[in-house]
Amino acid sequence: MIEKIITLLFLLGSSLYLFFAQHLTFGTLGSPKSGFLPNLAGSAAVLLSLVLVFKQIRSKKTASNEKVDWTKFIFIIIGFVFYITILSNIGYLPATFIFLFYLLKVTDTSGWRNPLLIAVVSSFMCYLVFERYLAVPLP
Amino acid sequence: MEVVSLLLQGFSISILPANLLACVTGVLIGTLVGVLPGIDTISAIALLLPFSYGLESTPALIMFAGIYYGSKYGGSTTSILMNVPGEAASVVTCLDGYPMAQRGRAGAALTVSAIGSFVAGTIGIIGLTLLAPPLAQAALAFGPPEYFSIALVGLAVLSKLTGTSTLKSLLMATTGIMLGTVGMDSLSGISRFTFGVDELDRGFDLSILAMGIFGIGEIITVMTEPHTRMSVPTIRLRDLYPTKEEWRRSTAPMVRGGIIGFLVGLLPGPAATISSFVSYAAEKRCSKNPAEFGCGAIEGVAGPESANNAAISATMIPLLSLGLPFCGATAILLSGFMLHGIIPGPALITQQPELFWGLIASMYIGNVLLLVINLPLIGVFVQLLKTPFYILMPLVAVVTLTGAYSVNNSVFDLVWVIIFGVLGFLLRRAGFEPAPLVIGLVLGPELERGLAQGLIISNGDIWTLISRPISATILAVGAMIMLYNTARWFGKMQNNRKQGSC
Amino acid sequence: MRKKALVLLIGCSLVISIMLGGCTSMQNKTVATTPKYPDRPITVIVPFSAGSGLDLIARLLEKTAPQHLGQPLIVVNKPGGAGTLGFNELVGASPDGYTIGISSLEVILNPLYGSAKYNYPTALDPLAQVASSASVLAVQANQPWQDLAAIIEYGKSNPGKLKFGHQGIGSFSHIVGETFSQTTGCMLEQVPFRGGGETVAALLGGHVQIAFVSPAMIKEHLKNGTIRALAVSDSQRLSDPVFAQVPTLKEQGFDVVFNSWFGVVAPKEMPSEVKDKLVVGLKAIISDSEFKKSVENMGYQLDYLGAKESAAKWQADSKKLTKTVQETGILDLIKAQKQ
Repeated sequence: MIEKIITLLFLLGSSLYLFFAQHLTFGTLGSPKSGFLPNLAGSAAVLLSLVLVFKQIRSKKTASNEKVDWTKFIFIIIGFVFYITILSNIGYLPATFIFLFYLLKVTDTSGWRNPLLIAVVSSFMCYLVFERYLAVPLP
Repeated sequence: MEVVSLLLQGFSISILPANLLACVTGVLIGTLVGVLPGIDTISAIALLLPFSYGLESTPALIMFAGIYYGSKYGGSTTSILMNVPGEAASVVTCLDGYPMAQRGRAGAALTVSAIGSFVAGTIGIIGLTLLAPPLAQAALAFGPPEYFSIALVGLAVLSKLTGTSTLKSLLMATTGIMLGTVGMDSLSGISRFTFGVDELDRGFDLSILAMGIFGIGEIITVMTEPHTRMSVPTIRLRDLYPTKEEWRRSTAPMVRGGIIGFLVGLLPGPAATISSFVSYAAEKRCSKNPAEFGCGAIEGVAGPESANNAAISATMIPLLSLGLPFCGATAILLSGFMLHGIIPGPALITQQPELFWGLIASMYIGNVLLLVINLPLIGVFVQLLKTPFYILMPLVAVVTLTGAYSVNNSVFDLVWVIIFGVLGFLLRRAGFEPAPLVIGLVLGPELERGLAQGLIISNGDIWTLISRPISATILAVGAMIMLYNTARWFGKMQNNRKQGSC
Repeated sequence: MRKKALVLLIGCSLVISIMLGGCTSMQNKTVATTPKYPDRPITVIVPFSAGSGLDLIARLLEKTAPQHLGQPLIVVNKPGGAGTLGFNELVGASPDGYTIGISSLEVILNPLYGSAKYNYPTALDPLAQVASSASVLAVQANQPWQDLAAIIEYGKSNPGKLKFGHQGIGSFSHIVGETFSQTTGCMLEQVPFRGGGETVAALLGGHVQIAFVSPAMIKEHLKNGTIRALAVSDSQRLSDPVFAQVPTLKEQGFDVVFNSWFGVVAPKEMPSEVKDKLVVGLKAIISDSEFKKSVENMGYQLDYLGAKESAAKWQADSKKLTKTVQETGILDLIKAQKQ
């Protein structure tokens, strides 16, 4: 199921890419311009994804059979998006702390005290290591 | 031999306390940089450059070199333990290292990786010592047409490394190429596929892509499993070290990897990453049981890890003999040199032998130090595995994201890391292997550059491109490999053997 | 149930924070002139990646800043788009004097090629120029051409055969090379490379016959005798003794004078006291003898210009380069890449 979706996405993506690549001059074989490789690669990708789509329509096999907890997935994505959004606004340390805590709860860590503790200690340590020792300017 | 006496002189310099201390500091920082996903050698050295003013030139350079090769030792740690590559050159180690860890053989994988790095590092340094000038000249003979051929052959041969479906791998490689064309490119002077978004001008950084697809992708995969996975059961002492069987199987790959890595490392661009892929392909070809690759074949850890360490020594050759940096990290080293008033070049070896040989000798010492540091750490790292995944994964996520931010100081990059992470997660579930994507991203631009530059040089005559001696040899070798592969594929179709999963 | 409540809570805070974030960035930039400037560390935006020449200059500035400016400098690299990203960020920064940046010739070049969001010469305010660098015409030592005239002769009689390497279409070295080719009439073909290192490697390997690179890259080779430098693009000969024998293009009769410079800039409309403090402080840092030595080690020439002179130079360079990129056809070359 998901295999077919992904392959279709590839088809869509490569067709879009190829479309935009038309804006770039192709040049000639003797003097390729910026559109040369994009057009070639885009066409190859469209071709390959078409072939894959056909193969998958014909066969009945599915690739992976592990179950996935889609609710958790959505939560995690929300968490990531949230983290990135507030990172520049409230700074690294608080944002990381909140994010860690959130993730720890998403992964079912029991209780409130442990996650809180872990989140505090770890965000602090990360801050120390990156900002102080490695001199990376964090937001 | 004169070289030996010069080397001994170098050793006497490198054991001076200041230099020794610089070496230790360098390799320690290097290991840290390698273990942490995201922080890369370039940033680390750049950040430490101002602090090095107070030092004399020799200790400063020894320290930077230490960071450089030290980082390749640590990169495999997170790859093996958590399927999150510490840096682009350790992506391949995830392929077989992680399955080994899942079977409880993490300690063995880490040990083999450390020892392989040492062996190959030593091979590389010996090569550097003895062969630097002639190899540098040989490297110069490679021009754009040769790079084009290498990229072409590389793409054709290396895309099919992993996974069961050739079509899917090819599609991933092509996608990699497409992603590589995004951004402003000095060959044409315009930005492609940026849709007016300035941040895309930079294109997709290899490390961002690798961290996203492999790192965050893995984290999402683990975190969304319906039942919370328990950590690996108690590690017994003998699980920490490889068995006799594993030793036996790793020795040849280590040496092979060392040689391959050293040769491939002479190429410009991300040589360490390419060399790890080439080594993996070579090991798979030489193995009696290729189907095991991807499920925890120890050769798949020994070979690539050795290769990327040997490549480091090789990248130092153009830098030290010619003063030409062939990749980002050596460019920073060059700046470091220049800042201290030393300009490497043909004259460096003859005019400043103490510096040159001192540096080489310190590389030997550094390698030994790294081995000494890393081996006991293996026990520590494996203990880390006992941390329940539900605590570990969020932590790794945060470290990866922070590391990703530090590459370009850009929150925009983080967005892409997440997007690639989600993609990586979805791709894995759909049976697409992400490794060929890296190949496409790395070799695509090389291909384009080689073609464009080569055609200008040969005045638009593509036949000249193909018929230059080195270029022709590479293409011929590539064609032979492709023919061999196709023949085998036909053979497989005949026998209807299925390449099963583990 | 509890989980859902938690997520709902976080979702709401997410929305609120996005709104807040959006609001703050839309406010007009009000400048609070603190009487005691500077009282916090100053951020320096470097529009190039760590380890590049510009980046190192910034870090060199960082070293002596605390004495002369009173506060440390924090270097932040924002690479991308040949400097466009960093410059854009600088234009959008608040002109309170706590954000400055490093500028280079790309400040003038990028808007010319249409790849920049703002017109940097008018959107940014130069504080000082730090150093400049010229381009050297180099050939392999084993080639028969001993001087410029010989190679021009060869180029004229064999059009299209000579290839010159440079560091990217639209880059400084490309402009110098193309102008040279047209002024002398020797019709060189250009081959773009990714940086000085690659260009020199191609030269040494014989893949291109001529290379236009910065002096630092070939200094050692010149000393060693593997490369011969035939001309330099500056208005006078380089002060470095290794290059003392290299004549300028000007003295050989060709009006090809370009140099690439680096300086410090700030967003426009900074309060004048703040600007003056910065200018004075920067001048002190740059005049420091250790700074000079380090800059020269890097292969650049220290070339200080104050704020006003820098601005004048920008105008002059802008005029000159607008003309040059059109005449040499570089602008058309770039435009031809897009349909």
